[in-house]
Amino acid sequence: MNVKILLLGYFRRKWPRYAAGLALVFISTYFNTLIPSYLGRAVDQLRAGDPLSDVRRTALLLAAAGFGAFLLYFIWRYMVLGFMRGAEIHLRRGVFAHLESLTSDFYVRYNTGDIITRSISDVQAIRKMFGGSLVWIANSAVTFALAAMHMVRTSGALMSFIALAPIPALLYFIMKIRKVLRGRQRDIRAATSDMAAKAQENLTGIRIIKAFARENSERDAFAAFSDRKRAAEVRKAKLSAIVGPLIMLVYAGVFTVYILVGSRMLSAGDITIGDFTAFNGYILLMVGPIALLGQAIEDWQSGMASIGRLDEMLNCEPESRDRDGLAEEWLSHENPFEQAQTAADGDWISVRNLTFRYPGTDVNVLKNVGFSVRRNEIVAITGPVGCGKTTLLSLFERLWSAPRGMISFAGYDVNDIPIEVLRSEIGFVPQDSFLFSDSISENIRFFAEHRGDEDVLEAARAVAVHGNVIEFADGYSTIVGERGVTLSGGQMQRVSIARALVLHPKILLLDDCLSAVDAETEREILSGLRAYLDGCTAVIVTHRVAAASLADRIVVLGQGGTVDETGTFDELLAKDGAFAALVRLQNGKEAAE
Amino acid sequence: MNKRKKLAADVEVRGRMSEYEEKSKRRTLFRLLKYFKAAPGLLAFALASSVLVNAAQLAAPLIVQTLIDDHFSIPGFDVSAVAYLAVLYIAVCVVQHVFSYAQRVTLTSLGQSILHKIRTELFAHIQSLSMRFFDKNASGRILTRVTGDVDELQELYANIFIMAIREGMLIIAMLATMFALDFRLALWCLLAVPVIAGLTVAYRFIARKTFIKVKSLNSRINGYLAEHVTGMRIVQIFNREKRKYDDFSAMNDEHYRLGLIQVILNSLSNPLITMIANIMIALIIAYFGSRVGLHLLDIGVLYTFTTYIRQLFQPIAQLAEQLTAAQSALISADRIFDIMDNTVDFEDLDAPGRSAENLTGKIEFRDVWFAYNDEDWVLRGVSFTIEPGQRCAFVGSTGSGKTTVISLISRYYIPQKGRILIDGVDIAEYNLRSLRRAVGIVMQSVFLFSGNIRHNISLGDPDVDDGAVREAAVAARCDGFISELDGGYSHSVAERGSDFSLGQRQLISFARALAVKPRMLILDEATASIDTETEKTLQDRLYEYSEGKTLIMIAHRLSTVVGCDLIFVLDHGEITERGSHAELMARENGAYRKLYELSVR
Repeated sequence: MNVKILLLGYFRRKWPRYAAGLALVFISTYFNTLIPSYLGRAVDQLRAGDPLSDVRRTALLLAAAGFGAFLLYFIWRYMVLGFMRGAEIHLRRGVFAHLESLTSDFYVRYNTGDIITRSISDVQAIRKMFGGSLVWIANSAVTFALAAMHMVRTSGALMSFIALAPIPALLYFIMKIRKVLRGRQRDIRAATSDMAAKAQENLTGIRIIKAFARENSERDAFAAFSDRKRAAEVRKAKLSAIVGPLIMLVYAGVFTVYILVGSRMLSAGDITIGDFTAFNGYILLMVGPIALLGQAIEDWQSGMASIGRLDEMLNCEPESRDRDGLAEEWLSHENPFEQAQTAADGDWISVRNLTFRYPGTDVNVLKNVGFSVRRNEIVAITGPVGCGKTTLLSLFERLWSAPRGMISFAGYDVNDIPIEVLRSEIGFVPQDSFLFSDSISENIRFFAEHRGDEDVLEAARAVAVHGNVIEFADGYSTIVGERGVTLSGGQMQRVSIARALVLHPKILLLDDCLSAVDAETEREILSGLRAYLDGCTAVIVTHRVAAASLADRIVVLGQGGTVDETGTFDELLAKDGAFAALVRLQNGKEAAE
Repeated sequence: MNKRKKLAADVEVRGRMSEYEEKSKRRTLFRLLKYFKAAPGLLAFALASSVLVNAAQLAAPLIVQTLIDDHFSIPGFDVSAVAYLAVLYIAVCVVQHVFSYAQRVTLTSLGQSILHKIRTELFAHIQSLSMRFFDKNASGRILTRVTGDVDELQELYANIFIMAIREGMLIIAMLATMFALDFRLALWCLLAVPVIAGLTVAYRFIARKTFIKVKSLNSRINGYLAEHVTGMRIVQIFNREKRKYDDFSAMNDEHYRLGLIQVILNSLSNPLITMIANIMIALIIAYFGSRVGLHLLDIGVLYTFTTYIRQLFQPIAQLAEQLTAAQSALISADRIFDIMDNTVDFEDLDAPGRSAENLTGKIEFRDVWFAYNDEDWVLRGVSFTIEPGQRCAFVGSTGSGKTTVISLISRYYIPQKGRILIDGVDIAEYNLRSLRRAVGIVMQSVFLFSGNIRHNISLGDPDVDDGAVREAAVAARCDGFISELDGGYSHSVAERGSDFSLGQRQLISFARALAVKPRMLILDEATASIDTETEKTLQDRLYEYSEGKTLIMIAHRLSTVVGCDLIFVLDHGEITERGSHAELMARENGAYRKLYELSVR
């Protein structure tokens, strides 16, 4: 996927509008170049004492040309820029769809701000590139050509040459300046984003800053960032302010030459005063585009850079995705998740010799992990920080791809089940609960159209968050997140569990998602879950022994991603291994003794 | 469909709000102008160059007029006599453009100095606001004030203010010259001014409405993207890609619709003025034509008039275009000043007060009542005394007020009723800075700053040297894994410490609290994300470390509070039980006993 493919898809459908707009640019510009010559003609007619009707006709023609140029300018802009606005949203939708397909590895590599910049600013830059920029380049070229033709006609080839000659030199110089300017613009952007990052960090960590009374050093740090931005802006202005006055000055020079040359031609009777006046009009016509041309060329270049940046993102492939034809293949046989309702024998989830390392790293996060889960069984996984519990669950969901032959569901290798099927059969509650800024009920239902309010309530009750929700003034309609009420950590966790429950998944994966609730609530939830989950298999990652004890079986992972021991709660206690030690620790018996 | 309606209503409300803001606009403007005092030299230079630029701009066409009327129009004129006018012309132009450059640079410099001043003032003021302010305002919104809104002012200071003065001068001078040249014609041209002004006002009205809509939609799209990039995993886990795509698409359709309106508006403003200028020129020609027996000298006047007309209408057009920016700049300025004027939430760290440096750490609450808003009591008459060196714990269900209690000790908030005393002195009497430094807090949510590990432990405090950092790290049991990192303590922390596990981050924040050698140490649910074994060893170290210091902890896992001297059970803002673990367990139907039994099964 890249920008070209996305844009071509749009261009192919809508190109006539763009082409027609470009054609109008030429006609509009033509009308514009008529105006100085009409003015010249009027001057000569007035001097010659031509009849009033002739002068009036010239005046009318001038007004008509002015009106025509305006009207066509408006129409072409509407057509071309409107076209590119359409292209912009087409592109942005494409980018969003692509983002939706990308996996965690991408989101680890690119930070949120960067992704947003690419999806908004870079897309905008591409719009400007093919909208304003390209059209201005065409417009300028036409203006120069037509103005030159008029100049040749009235004041001869020499003056026409003198008027055109500075353009390449000026453009060359302007582009040189702009090249340096781009560097300075980059400095500004870097300074701005560093400053914003500093402010953001400060605001997010404000509690810590207040707790440690570090406000003054934060203030100074921010002032330094702010001053860096100020200096960068001034440095840029010193250079960018040259362009406008320079063009004007060069053309003042051209006009000065014309005064000298033109006066000779006038006295020789080669040109009229009207021609002399018109010449100034052409110069004015040319000066405008030159300044904008520099901008247009730069917009073009920054558009190219944006295409590069966007392509980089669009070229990212999801780390884990279905192999070609898997979906069709899957449709050809019966859904094993349904079949297994009857054939309950055998391992429902099976993990064999699972060794996994994240792409691009050389440390195995999981080593030879093996265990199985039977239907309707609840298995708890516990172990120290960093032992790979979360990784394991992510592999079940194919957030990362596990090597073949290591994880299977109902006898099917995880890689042979389409991601969409897998994720609709499995309910997964990640460790960091994330809610969208929407109502609580929509966060729980999460656009599952076939689930009604009753289902939402039921799920909320199962995770004991119903009581909290109805205490809010707006109940389930309460908006949460950035633009709404801030839920406590525990409430967020419970809502995010409810979001998985409401779908009645066949398999439920809970990744240490009750850490922020107190013991009493946790117990309430876990026993509620058991009832709610009737007929569901669950794998629960937890730190708490009390939670693990509710499971049918417990898998204890050790540091280094290996399975230390497995068994029922009682078996593990009897074994007196790592788990038993943990139980003693958490029950506080040692401390009490 | 419903969403769109909501969006429209949202935009409508914002529109009305900004109309209300219009009333205070003049005051805001005046206040913005006052900032020019920040750099009077630059301002004077910029204004002086403006006068020069204007005079030169006015003079150039007059030279050409002289050329046409005094030389070209006379049959058989002396070609060599033209040269001095040519030299004069270019000299005037050099002055005009050289000073135009100087003026632009000066203006930017001036504008940027002012923006820098506003930005740092704003940020400094935000730093001095209390937690109440941060509770009320989402960090994203505050951030927009510091960055986005200040940037909006840039246009104002770098362009609009000065342009208004410069172009205002130009317009008046030009009109005066035109009247001197041909009174009747000048009167005619004056008629175009109300037309342009009327169009400008109409344009401004529509453009502003659209601008506000576009701005709010843009921030919605931005917010939507930010939220979904962060929560993309959830979207994927629940297979909701299609649905979210449709939402996003709908928002973009709206963006397209508004974009078209913007295209129309942008395509109208300047070209329309140019067209009016052209029509004016045609009218002037017709006017000259109607004066039969035309005096030859008038041709030069015609030249001057046509040149001036273009130069006269242009500034008006430019000002019109800048007005949209001015509109939003004023709205932004109001928002900025709103924060700067916030004195309600101001807290002065350095207000004179008793030093809290050598406290023993006795903490006393006397009938403390507290609510975050109105009468929504979070604490209802809480009283307790913690003796120096005691280890105590607050337990209770979520929302029982545990975190609030410790927030009050550091004076993040001031209770509505009751008193809080440390070492027998009301905390209001302490110097706030020294009070906060006397209390070390480890919070529930861990936050790592960008910078290296050392900075994250010392937080840039000059009193915390490398030795102290290391000492704290050892005490917090994170010296081990830090030493193994690339660069050890100089290892730089990636985005909010995402390369560390939650537990490791928690340990670093422990070290941070220990590094300031607090007299009182507060742990707010600080061990929740650490595995039990690490927690246990950490706790042992902590007990050792906090020997003689007051230690307050909040924990869900009751196993961690067993060793405390004193345990308070909070329920809906009231202390229902207090005592040691053994004492509380002895209560037959005690709340604590129930909780404890639940937690250990």
